[in-house]
Parts: sequence; structure tokens; C-alpha cells
Amino acid sequence: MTDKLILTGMPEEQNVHSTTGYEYIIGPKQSLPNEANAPYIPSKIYSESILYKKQQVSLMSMAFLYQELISQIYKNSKTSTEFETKLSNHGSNIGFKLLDLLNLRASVPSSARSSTFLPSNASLTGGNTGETGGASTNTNTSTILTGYIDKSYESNESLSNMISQLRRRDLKIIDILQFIHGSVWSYLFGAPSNDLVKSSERENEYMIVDNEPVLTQFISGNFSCNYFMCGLIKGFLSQAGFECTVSPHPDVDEIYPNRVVYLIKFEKQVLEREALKFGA
Amino acid sequence: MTIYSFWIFDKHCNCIFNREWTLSSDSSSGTTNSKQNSETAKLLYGLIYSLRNITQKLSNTESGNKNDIRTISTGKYRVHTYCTATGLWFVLLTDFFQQSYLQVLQHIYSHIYVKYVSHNLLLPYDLTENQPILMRGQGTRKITNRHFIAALESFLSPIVE
Amino acid sequence: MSTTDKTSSSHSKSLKIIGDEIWKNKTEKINAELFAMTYGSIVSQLCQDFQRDYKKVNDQLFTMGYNIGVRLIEDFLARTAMPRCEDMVRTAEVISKCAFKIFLNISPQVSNWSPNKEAFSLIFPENPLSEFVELPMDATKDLWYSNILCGVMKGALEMVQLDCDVYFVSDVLRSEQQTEIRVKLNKVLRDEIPIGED
Repeated sequence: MTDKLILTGMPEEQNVHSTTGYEYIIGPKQSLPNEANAPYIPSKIYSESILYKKQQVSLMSMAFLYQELISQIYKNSKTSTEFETKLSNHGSNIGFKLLDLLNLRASVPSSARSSTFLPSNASLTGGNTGETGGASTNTNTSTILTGYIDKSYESNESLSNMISQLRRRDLKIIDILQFIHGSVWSYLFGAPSNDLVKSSERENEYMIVDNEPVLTQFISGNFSCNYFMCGLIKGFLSQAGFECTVSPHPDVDEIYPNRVVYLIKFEKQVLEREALKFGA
Repeated sequence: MTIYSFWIFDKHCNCIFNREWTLSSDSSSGTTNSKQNSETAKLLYGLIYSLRNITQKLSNTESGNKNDIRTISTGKYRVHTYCTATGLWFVLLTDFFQQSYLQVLQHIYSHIYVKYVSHNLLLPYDLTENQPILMRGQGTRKITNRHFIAALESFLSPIVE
Repeated sequence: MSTTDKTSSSHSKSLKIIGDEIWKNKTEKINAELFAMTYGSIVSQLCQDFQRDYKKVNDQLFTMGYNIGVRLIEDFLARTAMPRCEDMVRTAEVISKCAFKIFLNISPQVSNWSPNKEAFSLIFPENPLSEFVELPMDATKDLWYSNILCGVMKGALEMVQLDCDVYFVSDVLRSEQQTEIRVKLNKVLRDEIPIGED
């Protein structure tokens, strides 16, 4: 996360023309040369705390968005594999980000979250970028920026404190799965998943059980729609160096008509690495 | 207190669902979705439509309180209606005894129709969508979703008799 | 005159109470960041699919919104049991204080009324869709990142017989002063009448 931000300020990287996603190396709009005179309004993302603010939207909004995503992908897919891959990729996009985001948030001592350790609107990662932008702005926005920079200094200190306290990344399969089962699920849905199980038959297989999957509860009878969460788990794990495949399997009964088991199959090298490092 | 039949009309004046119960003795002999294009359906819609035209002319719309039809009663029957802002009509035919079934109709809309029809992405939001132009009361597809029918049955059958 | 003002302000006040009450007690909720990231993933995928032709992306987001709006309106009416609004002033208040409150937990400000009271703007001090978002340079001119909102409103309003144009005027994501969506009434659609009655 910090790597990317450092790159933002490097001007010599102009030769890179990525065609997908966000170009960190080109940077945000204020560096467009022909708009140097336009009043610069600092992007909100740099002035906001990266800590979880516990904001919520209606579950129905999410359900409508999710259903529309499903129906668009469905319309544009020729095979069920294509559908599953596309839906899974959307989940992976989020899983990638959550690894860094949730690890960082998990590093903040819980006492600090409610104290003045970090002002709720202070900048955590973007303090420097904000100041650079501030130098070239006109008086119109300077008042906003004064307060803004003050807070940045404050939080830069806090950030440096935090870096030394950063939670160590999970190296064992069971540890990172526990993190998904507990922290990731609680972050997304407000509670840990219902179960985390190791396969008794195959060494490389684990299962996360969700009795009442939140996102697919309004979609009946199509388990493929759970591929989004599969992608999210897979994205999270592979970003952390645990290559795997994830697939959804129905495990329904009278009480839980939508229960789903996410089957995680780790690649061989992941187990070999673990055996080498921690012994079999 | 008993109910005789239940109807849903869409905004194109089509009956998109109906359920008719047979009187008291044998409730299972009733029919579902059999009378959509019947004379009864058209007359019923026509009745509500005409009456609404009259009531709207009578009311003082400036006040903002629309003069909506709630029930129409005869010596033996009551027709209870609930119209949503999107133009759906929910209609229940009952005996004369109970004054209002408004809550029943609202419940059907908000807990059964919205849940199993509006939220179901496999069902078109408008049943006339992609259909040959057979609008304005000349019939269209109907709601056949089994979850919808099951939920409606279990909600209404205790009231039938 | 003063009486009408009084009723309309008490109207909108009670709308705020209705919206707040439904949000607080009758709405299941979910993490807004998951919502924002899912939407972000959708937009970024569309930018790829349409090879960064942002006008096409805008149109696609609008269509997706429309598909949502025509269904979302029934959910909204089921929750609020609201009748049709008598005019656009009331419509604007319901959109801001009830609809946006219930679905996104925000209440955009209604302003910039046209003299005939048929067009207004919604100003968004916050926008849960664009949390974490910074547009790449080439997108700041043409992309309306949150265009799905316009589609949702278009679809929902059409279902209550209000044919409106709904479009973005400005967006802070494009370094503009504020995020503003314009809603303009074209006409009130007539209810269909059964054959034989006309």
C-alpha cells in the first residue's frame, strides 16, 4: 500500500501505459499540465482515516447491486465456467485489497481506536501527497489545507508508531484461514463464519461454512452465484502467497436452505513450503 | 368472515394473478390463474377503474389527500382494494362482515409480492416486457412463481374459512 | 401563503422522521465499504470491457441503474407505503429524506429549483459509492463514476409515472466543487385505461 503511494510522486515513469485499472504512476488529476491553474481540491481519500468508520448501507442496496452484477455477467457469458470466472474475478479484486487493509486495521490496538491515537478524520497514508498538492494551490483552498496539514503531521507520527507495531503477516495456513474465518467475515458481515473445517481426506483441503450467505440470500437455487465470495477468499489468500482454488458447494437442510461450503484447495507448493518451514 | 377470491392487476390493466376459492365446504377445489381473461376479471377491473375516476373527480386534490377507493360493498359482498404508487392493484373479494382487509393486502404486497416477484431477478419486473402488444386489459403472462403462490396460500388459507 | 409554507415544512419534517425511523429500526444493514468496493470493481471492469470508452461506461452504468430502479421502487413503496406524490417538490423531499436515507443512509440536499418547480438538483455532501475512489487522469473528463444513481432514479421515477431526465452536473471526483445530480421532469405519464373505456 505504501509502495504505491511512493510511486505517485515519481515523474520519470511516464513511459508506462497500462490499459487497465488505476495508474498509480501517473497519479491523480492535479498533475495534468493543462489544468495547473484550476483550483485544486484535494481528493478526499487522502484526508480520511483508513480506520474502519463502521459506515453502513441498506442490505437491499447491496442485494440489488449484486443481483444486477450477476444478471449482467450472466447475459455476457457463453459458458458457466465463463460466468464463474468473471464473478470470481470481481471478488478477487476485493480480496486483494482486504489483505492489506484488514491487516493494517488489525494492527491498531483497540484502545487506540477510540482514543486520540488517530483523529478520526486524519490522514494515515496520504499525508505527504496532500502537502505536495497544497504547495501549488491558490488561496481559495489554503484554509482547508492548513488544518489538513496539521492533522497530517499528527498522524504521520502515529503512523510511524504503528509501522513498528504492524501485525506480522500470517505464514501458516491455519493462521491465515483463522483470519478469514474470524476477522474478514466479521468485517464483511458482522460475525465470524459458521465453521472452519479441515478435510479429513485430503491434506490440502479446507472448508469455510456459511449457514446463511448474506449476498445470495435473495437468489434462489443457483449456487454459482456464490463464486463472488470464492473469488474474495482466493484473492485474499493468493495475495498473501497461499495459491489455491476455491469453489462453492451446497450443503442445505431444512433450517438452512442456502447453506454453502467454500472448499479451499491449496496448491502443492504451499504445503511443501509449510512443511519445510514448520516441519511436517 | 370469509374470502372468495384474490386478484392482482398490473398498470397495463391486465390481470397478472388470480386465485379463487370455492365456498366453505371444499377449499382445495379452488383454482389459481384460471380467470385472467374472464369476463369477471375485466368487469372487476372496469368497476374499480370507473369508480376511481369518479372518486378522483369528487375529491379536492389540492389537499394532497387522495380520495382512494378502499372498499366497495353490496348487500352480500365486499371488494377490498389496495393500489400501489406503481399502479398495481391488489383486490380481495370477501363476504360482508369484515370492514377492512387493508392490512392483509398491504402485507401481501410488501412481504409476498415484493419478496418473490420484485426481488426475483429471473422474473421480468413488468410482465408485458418483450411481449406482443396485448396491452390494456387484453391479457399477458401471469405470476406462476411457486414460492409466491406457496407463500400466498399459507398466508391466506387461514382466512378462507 | 404562510399556512402552505408551514404545512410543506411540517410535511418534509415528518418525511425526515419517517426516513430516519425506517433506517434505524426496519432496515437490515451491511458494511458500506463492501458495497463501495463491489461497485468499484464493477466500474473498473466496465472500463476494461469498453476499452476506456467512458461514455459507453456511463451508459452501461445508467442501464444497470435503470434495471435496479424499476424493482427498487417496489421495495421502497413496500417499506414506506407511500402514495404518489402530488408534485415535484414533494417528490424531491421523498427522494432525499426517505429513499436515499433508507437505501444509502445519506440525505442529499435539494436545491436549484427551476422557476416552474419541475427541475431540481440533489447535492451530495457524501457518496457511499465513491469511498476510496480516485479517478485515473484519462477518466476525469468523461466518466461519471456514480452514474448508476441516475439510472436508479430514472427507473424508479418512471414506475410512478414520472418521466424525468436524470443526469450528473458535477462530481467532486472530477475535482469539481460539489457532487450534483439534476432531476428534470419531462411529463407525468398517464395511467393506461382499459380497452373499451376510451
